[in-house]
Amino acid sequence: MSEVSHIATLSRIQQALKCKSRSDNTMATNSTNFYDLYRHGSLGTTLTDALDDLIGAERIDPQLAMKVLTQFDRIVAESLSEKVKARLTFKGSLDTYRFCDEVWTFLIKNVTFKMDNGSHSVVADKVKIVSCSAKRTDEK
Amino acid sequence: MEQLPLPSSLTEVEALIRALYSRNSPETISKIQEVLQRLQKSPQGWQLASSLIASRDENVRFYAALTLIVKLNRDSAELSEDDAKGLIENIVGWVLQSLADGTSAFVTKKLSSALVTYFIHFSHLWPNCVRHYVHCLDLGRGVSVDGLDDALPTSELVAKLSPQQLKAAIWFATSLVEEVGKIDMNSPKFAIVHDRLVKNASDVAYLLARSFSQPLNTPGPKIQDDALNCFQAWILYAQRVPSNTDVLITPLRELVDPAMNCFADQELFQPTAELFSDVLSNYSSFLTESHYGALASLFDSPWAAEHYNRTIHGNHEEEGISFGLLMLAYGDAKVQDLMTSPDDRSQRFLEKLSGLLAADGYVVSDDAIFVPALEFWSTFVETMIDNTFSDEEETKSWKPYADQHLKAIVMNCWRKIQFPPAETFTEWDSSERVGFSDGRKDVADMLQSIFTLNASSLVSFFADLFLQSVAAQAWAEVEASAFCLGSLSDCLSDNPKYDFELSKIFDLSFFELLGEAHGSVPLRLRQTGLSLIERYCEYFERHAEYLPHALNLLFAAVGDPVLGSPSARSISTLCSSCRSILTGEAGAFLRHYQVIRNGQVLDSLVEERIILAIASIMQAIPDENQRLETFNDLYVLLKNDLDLAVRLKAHPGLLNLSDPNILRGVDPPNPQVTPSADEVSLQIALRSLRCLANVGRGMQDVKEHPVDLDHDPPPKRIGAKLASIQADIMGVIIEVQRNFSTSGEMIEIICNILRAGFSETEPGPFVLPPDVVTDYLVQQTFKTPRVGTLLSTVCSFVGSLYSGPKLFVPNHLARLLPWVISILKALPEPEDDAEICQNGIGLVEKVMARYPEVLFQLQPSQMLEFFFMFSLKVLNGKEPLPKSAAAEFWSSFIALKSDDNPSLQATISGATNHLGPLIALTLVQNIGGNAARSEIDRLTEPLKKLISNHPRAQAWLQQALFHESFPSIQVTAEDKMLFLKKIVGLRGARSTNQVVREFWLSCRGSNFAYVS
Repeated sequence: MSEVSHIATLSRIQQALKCKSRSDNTMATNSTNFYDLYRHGSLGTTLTDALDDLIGAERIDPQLAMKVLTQFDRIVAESLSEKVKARLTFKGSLDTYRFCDEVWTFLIKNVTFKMDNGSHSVVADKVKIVSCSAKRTDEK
Repeated sequence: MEQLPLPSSLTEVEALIRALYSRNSPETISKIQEVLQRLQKSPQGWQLASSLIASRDENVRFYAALTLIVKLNRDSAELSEDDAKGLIENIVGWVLQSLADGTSAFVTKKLSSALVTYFIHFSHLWPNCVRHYVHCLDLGRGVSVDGLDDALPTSELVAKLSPQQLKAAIWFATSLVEEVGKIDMNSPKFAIVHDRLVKNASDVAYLLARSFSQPLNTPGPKIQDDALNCFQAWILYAQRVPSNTDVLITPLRELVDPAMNCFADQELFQPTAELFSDVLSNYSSFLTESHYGALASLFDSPWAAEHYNRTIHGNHEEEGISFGLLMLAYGDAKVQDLMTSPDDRSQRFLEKLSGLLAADGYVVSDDAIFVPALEFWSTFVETMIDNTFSDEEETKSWKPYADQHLKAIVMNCWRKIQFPPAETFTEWDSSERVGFSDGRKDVADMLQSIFTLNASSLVSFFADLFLQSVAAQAWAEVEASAFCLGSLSDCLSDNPKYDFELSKIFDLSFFELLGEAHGSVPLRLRQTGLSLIERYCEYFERHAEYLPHALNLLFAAVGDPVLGSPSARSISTLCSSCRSILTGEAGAFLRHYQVIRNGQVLDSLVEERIILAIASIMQAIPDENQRLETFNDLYVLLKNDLDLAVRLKAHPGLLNLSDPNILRGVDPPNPQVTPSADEVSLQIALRSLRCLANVGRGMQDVKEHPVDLDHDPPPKRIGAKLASIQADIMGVIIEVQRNFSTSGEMIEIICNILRAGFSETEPGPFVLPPDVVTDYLVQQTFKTPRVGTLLSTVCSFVGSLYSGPKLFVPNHLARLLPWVISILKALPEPEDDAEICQNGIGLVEKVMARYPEVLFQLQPSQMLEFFFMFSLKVLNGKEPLPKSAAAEFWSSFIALKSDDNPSLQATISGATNHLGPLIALTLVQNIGGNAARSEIDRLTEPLKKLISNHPRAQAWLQQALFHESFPSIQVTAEDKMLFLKKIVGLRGARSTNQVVREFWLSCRGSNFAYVS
C-alpha cells in the first residue's frame, strides 16, 4: 500500500462522473447517452418509489415513468456538471485502484475530507470512488 | 368538467380548431382539446385528417397533419398494406401541394413529421423514403412507391430539384434522422427501422452535396444553413448507432470538406463553427487526418487571425465566442499530438490557446472564453501528468515547450483572477459575481494539478509575485498571489521543504499589512490574507514565532462584521492545531475574550468559535489542576449568562436593552420591535448553552490512545474538583431545561453537550459519570420536546458504555430500556413520529445485540411483548426509516444465539418459535408487493437469516405465502412454490436478493418492470 497525498476536487470527480451534456434535443431524449448510475442513489431510489406509487394508483403509465427516469439521468448529470460548484479536497491512503471497462475504482482508507468553506472536516475509515469517463465509449 | 358535444360537420370541426388556436380561457381550451382528441382517436380520424388538409386555414391544415401523426402512432395497425401505400402517396402529395401554394413553413414541416412517423411505422413499405420523396418532388405529385425502380438515379433527381424543393427535402431528411434517432436503438423491434434509415444515408448525402455546392456570400436565406443542421443531425446519429457501418459513415465523411467551405461565408460562419465544434468535441474520430490537416491550415490562415483577434479583443456578448470554442474543440481533440509535437504550427496554435486566457475584460462579465479555455488547459495539464509519469524519458523532447506554455497560462490566470475595483464589482449581478468566483476556483484546481509537475517553481513564482506586488502596493495583484498560494496549501503546508518560500510571505510586514484596519489595504485582501493564515496552520505549528502575530491579527478582526466570521474560524483552526504550543497563553486568551465580549456583542457564531479555540488550548494543559482552574474561569462566565437567562425569565422587569449582557440575547442586534423578556432570556440561554457545547467539543482529546481489546478498561478515578465541576454542569443543564421546558432547540444543544463526553477515554468536565447521564435521560418524558433526538443521544450513550468498564453496563441498560419502550408506548400510532420510532427500535436492537439477557429479563414482560408487536407493525408500515430499523432489528433477532447461557437460549428459542410465523407473514406481505422497491434489499436480510437459522422457516413462509392476506393476485400457487423452493435452496446466499426482487416484480405486475 502506497501512502499518497492524493488531492482531488469534487468537481473533478463530478466531471468524471457526468456524461457530456448537450443542448441538442436528440441527445437529451436518448437514454443511451447518460449513465443511469445515479438511479441507485437516495434521490433516484426515492424517485423510483414515487413513480411506483403513481403507477400503482394508475395515475401514470410505465412508459411515462421510464421517460421520467431518463430525464432524471440527464438532469442529474447536467446539474452536477453545470450547477454544483461546491467542492472539497481529501487526503488518504490509496489502498486499491483499478481500471476496468472504462470505470476507475479507487479504495481509499483513513480519508479526511476538507470542505470548500473550511467549516469542518469529515473523516471516513474507507471510501470507494467509482468514476466513469465523461465521454462514453460510444461518444469518443 | 362538462364535456362539449361532438361536432356534427366539418365546418364545426374547423371552427373548433380555430378556437383552439385563438385566445381563450384555459378551461375552454381544455374542453376543445378534449373533444378534438376524441375525434382524432375515433375511426373517422383518418377521414377527418384527409378532409381538413384541404382547408385554406393554415391552423386547420396544421391540425390535420397532427391528426395524421396521432392516427399513425395509435392506429397504424388497422391499415391494410394497400391503404398504407395509398396513404404515403397522399401525404407526399399534400406536402407538395403545401410547397406549391406557398403555405407557411410550420405546416410543411408538420407534414414532413407525418412522413417521418409513417416511416417509423411502415419502413418496410417505404425503405427508400428519401429517394422516393425526391422522386415525387421532381414529378410534382405523390406517386406509388412501387414505381421507384424506374426512376432516374437519385443524383440526377437531386440535381433537378428547385431550391425550394431542395429545402423541403433537407427538412425531411433532418426530421427523419432526428425522430428515428429518438427510438431505442437496442430494441430488436426497431433495429430494422434503424437499418433502413442507414441505407438512406447515400441519398441524403446527394442532397447535402448539392446544397453545399450552392454559391456562397449571396444575400438572403441560404440552403447551406439547413444543410449544416441536417449534416450535424446525421453525424450525431452516426455516432450513436451501434453498427455505424461504412454505408453511413463514408458518404457523410465526404461532405466534411464541402461543409468546411461554408466558413468562407460570414453568415454561415456561426452554424459551421458550431457543427465542427460539436463533431470535434463529441465524435472526434469521425474526422480523418486529412480533415484535421485542413482545419490546422485554416487556423493558420489570415482569416483565422482576424477571427482570433475579434475573440481576444471583441465584445463577447455581441459577437459570440464561436471561433474560440472551435479552436478549443480542435485543441481538445488533438491535445496529445499538440503537446508532443514541437513543430512550429502546433506551438503557434498552443500559444493562441494560451492567449484565450488573456482576452479583454473581466472573467464571465465581459470575457466568456476564459472558463472554456481554462477547461482545455486543465485537460492539457492532466494529459501532461499522465505522459510524464508513464514514460519520463520520452517527455524530454517536448516537455520544455509544454513548460513554457504552462508558465504563460499561469501568468494569464493570475492576471485574470484579480478582482476588479470595488465599484465595478458592485455593478455586477449575482450570477456574474458567482461566475467570477467559480472561475477563480477553477484556476485553483488547475494550479494544484500544475503543482504535481512544477512544485517548487510554482511556489516561488507566486511568493515572488506576492512580494513584488506588495512593494508596488498593487493590492489586487497581492490578493491574487495570496489566493494562488492559498490554493496550493493542501499540497505543501505539511511539507517543511517549502517553508523557506513561505517564510518570505509570513514575516512581520505581512501581519502589519493585514493589520491596517483603516489603511489603504482593501477588505478583500484582508479576507484572503486571513484565510491564508488558516490554510497554512501547519506552517505556524512549525514556526511558533509567528503564531502570536497571526493570532493577534485574527483577534483584532473578530469584531468586524465582514471579517469576524472568517477570523474566528481561523482562530479555532489555528488554536486547535497548535494547542500544545499555546497552553501557556490560555489565561491570556481568556482575558482577551473577556475584553472583547465586554466591549461589544459578538456575533453568536464568532463567539462560539473563539470559545472552541480557547477550550482546545485548555485541553492541552498537562497539569490537571491548572487545566480545571482555567476551565472554571471560562465556565463561570457562561454560567453567569445562564443564571441571567433564568433570572430574566422569572423577572421580566429586569429587561434592560442597554445592558450588554442582555443584548447578547437580542437578535438582530437592533430590532425594530422591542423583544419580550421571555424571548431574550431564551436567546441568552441558547447562546450560552451553545458556547458550553463548544467548550465540550474543544475539550475533546485529539490524541489517539492505545485501546486494549483483551481487557476491560479500568475505571477512571476522578478528583473532587472535577466531580464538583461535573455536578455543577449537570445541575445547570437541569435548571435551564426546567425553566425553558418547551424549547426543542435547547434539548438539541443539551444532547450535544452530553455527546461531547461520550467519545472520550480520559476524565474531563464533560465526561459525565454514566449514572448521572442515565438519571437525566430517564427523567425525560414523551412530552419533552425533540424526544427523538434524546433517543438518538441514548444510542450514542449506550455505544460509549460498551467501550467502558462492562461491570455496570447491564444496570444502566436495565434502567434505559423500560424508559425507551415507555416512550414508544406513548406514541398514538407507531408511525406518528418517525424519529422516535427509528431511534427507539435502533436502541433496543443495540442492547439486544450485546446484552440479550437484559432485553429478555425486562419487567414487566408485557413490555417486551408490546415492543415485538410494535416493531412488527412498523415492519409492515410505510415509513421508510423506522421500517429499515425494524428490518435490522428482526434480522439481529432471528440470528440471536446464546450458546453459553442455556436458559437464555431457551427463552430466545421460545420467542422465535412464537414469533416466527408472524415475522414470516410480515416479510412475505412486503415481498409480495407491499414494500417499496427501495426497501426490498433491506427486507431480504431478515428473510435470509430466517432461512439459514430456522428449520421451520420453510413451513412458516409457505403458510405466509398462501395466507389470505397475501397482497398480490398476479402470481399463481406454482409461482409461490417455485419462489419458496428457490430461496430455501439458496440458504441465505447473496443471490436471494435477486430472487426476491424478481418475485416482488411478479407480484406487482409488468407495469413495474420499467426500470432495470
